[in-house]
Amino acid sequence: MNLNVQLRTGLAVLAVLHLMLLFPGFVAPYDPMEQDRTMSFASPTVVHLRDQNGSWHMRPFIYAVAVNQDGSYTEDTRQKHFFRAFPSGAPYKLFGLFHCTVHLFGVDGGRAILMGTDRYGRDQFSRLIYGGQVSLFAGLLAALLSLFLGAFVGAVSGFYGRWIDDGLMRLAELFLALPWLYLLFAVRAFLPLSVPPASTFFLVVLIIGLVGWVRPARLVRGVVLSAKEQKYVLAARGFGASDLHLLRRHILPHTYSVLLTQATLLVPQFVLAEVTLSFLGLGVAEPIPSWGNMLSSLQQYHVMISYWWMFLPGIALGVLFLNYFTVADALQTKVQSAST
Amino acid sequence: MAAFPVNADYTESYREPLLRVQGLNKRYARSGFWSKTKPVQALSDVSLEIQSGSTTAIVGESGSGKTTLAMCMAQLETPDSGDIWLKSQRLTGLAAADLLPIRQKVQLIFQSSASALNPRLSAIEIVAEPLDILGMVRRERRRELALEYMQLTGLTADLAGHSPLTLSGGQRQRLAIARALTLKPELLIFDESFSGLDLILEAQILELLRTLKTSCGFTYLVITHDLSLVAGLADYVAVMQSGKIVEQGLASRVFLHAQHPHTLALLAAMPRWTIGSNAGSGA
Amino acid sequence: MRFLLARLTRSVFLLAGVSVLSFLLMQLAPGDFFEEIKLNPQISPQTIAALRSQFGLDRPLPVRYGLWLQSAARGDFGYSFAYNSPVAPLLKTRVRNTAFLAGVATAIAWVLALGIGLWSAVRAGHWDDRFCTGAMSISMAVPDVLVALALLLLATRTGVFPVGGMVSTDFDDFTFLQKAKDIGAHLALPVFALVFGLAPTLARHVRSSVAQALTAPCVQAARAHGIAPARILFRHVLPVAANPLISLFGISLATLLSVSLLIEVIMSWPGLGPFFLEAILARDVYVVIGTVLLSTVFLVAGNLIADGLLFAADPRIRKS
Repeated sequence: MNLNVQLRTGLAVLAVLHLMLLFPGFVAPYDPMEQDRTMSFASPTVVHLRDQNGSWHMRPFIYAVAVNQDGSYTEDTRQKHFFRAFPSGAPYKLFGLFHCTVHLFGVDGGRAILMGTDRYGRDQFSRLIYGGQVSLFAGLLAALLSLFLGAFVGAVSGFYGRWIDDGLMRLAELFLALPWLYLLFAVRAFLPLSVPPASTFFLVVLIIGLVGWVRPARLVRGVVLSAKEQKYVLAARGFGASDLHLLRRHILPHTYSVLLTQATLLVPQFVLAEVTLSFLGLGVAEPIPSWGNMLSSLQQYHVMISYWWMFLPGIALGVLFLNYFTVADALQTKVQSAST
Repeated sequence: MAAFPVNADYTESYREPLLRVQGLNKRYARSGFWSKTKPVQALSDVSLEIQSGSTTAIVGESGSGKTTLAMCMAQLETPDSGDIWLKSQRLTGLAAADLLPIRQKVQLIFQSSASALNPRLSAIEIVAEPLDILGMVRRERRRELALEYMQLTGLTADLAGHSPLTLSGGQRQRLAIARALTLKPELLIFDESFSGLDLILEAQILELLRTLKTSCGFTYLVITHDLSLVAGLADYVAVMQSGKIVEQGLASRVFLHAQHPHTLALLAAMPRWTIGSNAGSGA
Repeated sequence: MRFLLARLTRSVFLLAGVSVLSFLLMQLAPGDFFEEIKLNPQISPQTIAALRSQFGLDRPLPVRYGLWLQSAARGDFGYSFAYNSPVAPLLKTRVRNTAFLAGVATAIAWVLALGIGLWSAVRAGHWDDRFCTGAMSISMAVPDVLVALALLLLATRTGVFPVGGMVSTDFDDFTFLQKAKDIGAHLALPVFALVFGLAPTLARHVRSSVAQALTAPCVQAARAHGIAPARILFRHVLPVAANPLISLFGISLATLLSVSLLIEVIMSWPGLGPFFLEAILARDVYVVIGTVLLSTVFLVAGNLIADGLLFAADPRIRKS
């Protein structure tokens, strides 16, 4: 695939995904915490354009869902509920600040559960959107933390050299020597197990970010070391430039492309770390949705074999990763060809 | 060979030298606990005077210590021992802050202009950088000033926005010179700056240097391994070998009445060409 | 030789550093955990008193560290409160199971990676290379969580493979051959999941190393000399490509214990993973610390072996 095409499509898909996760309240039709115990583990409602009489409609619609005696669900073809764009629905807070009720789409009467429901009857599609926000933000924030920390350590290490460099690199080796997944778990273990759900998010971000600073640090250090040797840095010293000026003007700009490629590699890794932690019950806690804890119900046998729609967050993860890897690949090739 | 006293055969009336180095020593130790390479003595008791307004050349082969000497003079390296004086001010041992005004007076032009100029900056940004660092001039005035210096070195104004990557070797050297000029230096050191240029370009740059010297009164120190370059340019010559100055004095004397075997060897290796006869040494 | 010595000393320091870190981490656990255990009726007060004196909880920190280090060096990793037994023997079986699973999976993954990567690099640009690269990219994007769960689903639906666990319930009655078959059947799915996760990344690295090696001047020279392509591949290209791959192999060895954590938990393979997780959830401190320390030892040892292999394989390193 052509490099630019690859880069552009990957970025486009990522942009759409990330935008959706910036405005979860808008995109998701329902409140992710809203339970409906009568609709436990309902399969996704089918969207129709053509009713059972064979006539076509302009707007897509769903049939009302009837709960049978044995607990299964069937479509009640007598009642149609039509889709509506930008309806007024469950209230939410845009960016946590502004009260809004407008959603991207909705259904008049009835409930369109596009990805089914879980045990408590919560709409999985809405939870996917909100959960994606949590997982993705965790990955992004942790990656930011790691990159920042790593860049700082790497720059200081590479620029000042000698014993600072030695000391910091020994520390880096120490961190590398620890199996990071195990370390992650261990650190999580030693902090109070029952932490309020909101704090678990930041806890996870902090731990993941603190553990992952080493590789960016090494890369930045390498770039700084080679940039430091450039004659124009020496020339600037000859003009009396301060260390800060040298770093800011001449040395650090070289690190930006490295940091960018690292970001595209770290984010999916860290999202996966959060998902793993949450899946095993050590990360973001209920009722806050995260793709990890949404998948954890699959550990129960009956859920796994009967309710296929519970797998969907895993597929969403795959799509996210695929696009991140595509972009990362294209970026790396670009950076390599630019430097040669 | 006896150590040559400084300016033994200097016939002009004695003026205070612009730059004086005395007994410089520098050793490079290869770092690394497990390293096997031995340390290198780059400078060995080097003493030299640069007369104000003159053009001095330091010649020698690769590894003779010329670049190290130049770097020490430009305060880009610190010698292990010895002294450096700029006019009557002692430079060695000065704190970094006090050194700042001195730095402006001595500027070094590097061998490879490509690596001496940051490829991510535009030409005018490169020339204006010293002005930015020192903050001497008002911000608005800096770019104008940079443009003036560029034109002084023969670069046209339309090159201002270009990256050094898009400039030719000769243009890059001019840019490096323009940048050095913004600091209004008194001594310009050229470290093998002509090695990468073809002869026509070299001639052009030399012409520029002559013009600048007559109009602004710079003092030049030219480091080179090319003796033929020295012949047309230098008033004084110092010959270096393995970190020591083996011969120095007026250029005319060194060329015509060379005494040290190394100097003689260098002179003999100079290609002498006569049109019509076979190429090679020996006229 | 110096190179190896340097590496060895570094590893020792690393282990020391990790042990200090682990010990400090342990101290983070709020409160004296022996208080918690006192509440556990299963553990006798004598055991508690013995443990207390053994670990000198009333002594200053460095002394405690020294005592703990002594015990650890002797192979005594402490006491598991959940299992009511010393940690070391528990770890032994679990480590054996994990190493077995991860070892088999890593070996298969490497064979696959070498084959596909080599083939891909040689056939660079052609349709089969592009197909392989595409397949590798897609399989890399699929999270192991999904793979493991999907395989379990497959197992239950088709009934071909047992669903989780390592051995069947009547394992002890089997003959040796039946036992081997049984373990093999249980091994299949976890190994598949692991290989699916490991092989694509490895294959990509192999491919890029070999592709780079193919452009090396010494290989071009060999081609110019008219040497047969197969010979060039094995005698000239592989040695050049080997360097980064050996480091990678070292990493594979180093992460042997930790790579299969999630798969083991999902597929109920009785290895280090589920054991570790249980310990975390049960606040079984010594098990947690012991596991971290053990994985670290493996990691450091793996890296050391990789360095040794590099030393043996690359004459440039021997020279320096």
